Amino acid sequence: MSATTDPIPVRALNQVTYCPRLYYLQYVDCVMPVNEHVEGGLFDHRRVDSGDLKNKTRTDRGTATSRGVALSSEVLGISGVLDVIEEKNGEQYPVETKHGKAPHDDDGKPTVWDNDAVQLCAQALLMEEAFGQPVPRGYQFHAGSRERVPLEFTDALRQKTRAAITRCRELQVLDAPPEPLPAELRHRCFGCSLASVCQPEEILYQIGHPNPADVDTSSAKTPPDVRLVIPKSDNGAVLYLQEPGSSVGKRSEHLVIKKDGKEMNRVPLHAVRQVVVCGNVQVSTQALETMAENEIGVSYVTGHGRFIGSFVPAPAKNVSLREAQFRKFSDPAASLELSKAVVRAKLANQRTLLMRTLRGEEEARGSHEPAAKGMYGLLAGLDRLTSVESVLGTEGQGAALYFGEFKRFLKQPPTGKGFDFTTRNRRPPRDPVNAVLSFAYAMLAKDCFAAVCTVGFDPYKGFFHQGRHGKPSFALDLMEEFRPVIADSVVLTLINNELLAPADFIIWRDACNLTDAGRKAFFAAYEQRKCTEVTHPVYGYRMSYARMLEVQARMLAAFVRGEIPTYTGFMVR
Amino acid sequence: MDSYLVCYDISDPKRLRKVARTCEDFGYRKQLSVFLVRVSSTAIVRLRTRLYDIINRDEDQVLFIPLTESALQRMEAIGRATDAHDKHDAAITM
Repeated sequence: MSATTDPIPVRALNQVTYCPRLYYLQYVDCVMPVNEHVEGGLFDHRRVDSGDLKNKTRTDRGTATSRGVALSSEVLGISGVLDVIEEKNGEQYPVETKHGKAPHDDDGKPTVWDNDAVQLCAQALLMEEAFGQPVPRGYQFHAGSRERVPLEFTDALRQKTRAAITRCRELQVLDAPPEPLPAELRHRCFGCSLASVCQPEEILYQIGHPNPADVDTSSAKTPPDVRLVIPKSDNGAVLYLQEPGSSVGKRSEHLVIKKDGKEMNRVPLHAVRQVVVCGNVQVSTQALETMAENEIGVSYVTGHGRFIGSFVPAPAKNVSLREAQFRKFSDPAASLELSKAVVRAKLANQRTLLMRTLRGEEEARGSHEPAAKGMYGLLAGLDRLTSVESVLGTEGQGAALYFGEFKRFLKQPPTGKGFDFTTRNRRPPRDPVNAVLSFAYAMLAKDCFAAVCTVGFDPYKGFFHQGRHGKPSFALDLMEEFRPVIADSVVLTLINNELLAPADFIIWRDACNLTDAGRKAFFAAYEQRKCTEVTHPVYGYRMSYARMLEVQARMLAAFVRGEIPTYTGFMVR
Repeated sequence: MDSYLVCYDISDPKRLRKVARTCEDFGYRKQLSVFLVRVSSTAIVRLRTRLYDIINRDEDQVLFIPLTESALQRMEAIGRATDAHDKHDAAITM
């Protein structure tokens, strides 16, 4: 990446001192998630940020106070909006508000964190240049403990601040973020709003254990010592809008769903993380705008589940990841390695599901099934393959073995009204089981599409499904390992637990489709499945499938950028 | 995701409307001034700060009662029916 001459915000100097990786992710990749600490900080800053008080000076008992003063310096290459500048007895000084409590030194006196000191000092440097008079000290106000702490701008601090500016410039030209903070500074990661993007523990673990296969054999039982820094699951519900003829408007920040002029329901937007519009539903522009502002993605699918498009908040801005993606996926060796990783995971998951479902049906254990043995053989032969085409072949053979037995996965109720399955067919699916399978894959594809877009990939440039034009190849690549464990598993739950009945399907000519009621049952089961917590194959801790999709996409991003040596597909244990 | 029961007592009709509308942005109305809010820890801070700015801190009150998952599961209503809330509130289908 090339260097820019844009001024560096003084806030960035705070971040780079705290953690260089944090700086890179926020200011070079431009990822800015908000968490409760950031939100709390905004609250503390509301007086400073309010438009009425900006750039105005008030005098109170000999102290003149100016709020929200914007300054920049071309010499230093920095700029910033200063919370407060006070002037008393002819001396000007910056005052900065911070959300937390003041740290205390050994004598119990309140002090200022190193990174905050750098930020305050940078403000002083800006003031000195703008006003032409020395600024020897400033104040840090800690809103948490309501303490106002003085800070002297010593030569050492000034040097440190200039070094931080240089460090920012150095980091801007890197293609990948610097390594996470070392373990002794890990306490800084807890509460960091970027933890789920950065994944510090996970990246460091993989750098230290370049070959996960070696680790698995030596310590099959003990999970790796990776501390959980990221949240286990995503927050909020997925809202499916499918009532034909209904319209969705917004009032304040909740959605109001109406049909024939009558209000059907209200849904608070802050409790929702994704919206799926299925069929004939009108969503107002105002509602779409509010959802985009709140970073809620809206996907449009047809009644058959075909993904039409999505309305997402401005896409991720990390161009360097997309550049790396195109480089890496155009490299045959890397594509082959990744293809093997996803197919290995897919076959292993299909085999596990097959053995689990057929266990106990007869006395024999699931692993004695001929199909399970066949798939084991395919898995063993995977390493020897030398082209992506042959990996595709192996995947096809695995699918044939798996779907050859799929009929036996379906429980037949004693009344004999169960569903039948002979072969996998699609476009259009011709029987109920194929219809639900197709629908489930379509929903999963939509979620994988969202996951790769969130991370900042181009969903159309894949490594395994190559040259399939108009298909989001990369989203489909990521989806492979999850097909059996999310989609197939939901289908089996719906059918074997009799959550779907023959009346939930419409058959017209050759095509079979879910009805509105059938889709409703599907959505509930599908989202429940995504909430199920499972153990990550490499990191060894539990998280929901919904989170797992994103974690795997982020692991791919780290691999593509060369941060970690290998990618490991998701495998159930 | 955190669950809270948010109840309020507001002495001025104008502020009352504002508080009600803000709560509707975050949770489901259970009774006239009782909301079930199931959101991220970020959103609960946002709700609290918004309400803090609306209410008169001498006359009004908003209660935030944190609910555990098991408490929520044992919620029961007598009289009029109320919507059941599943364990994750994972899918809302309209």
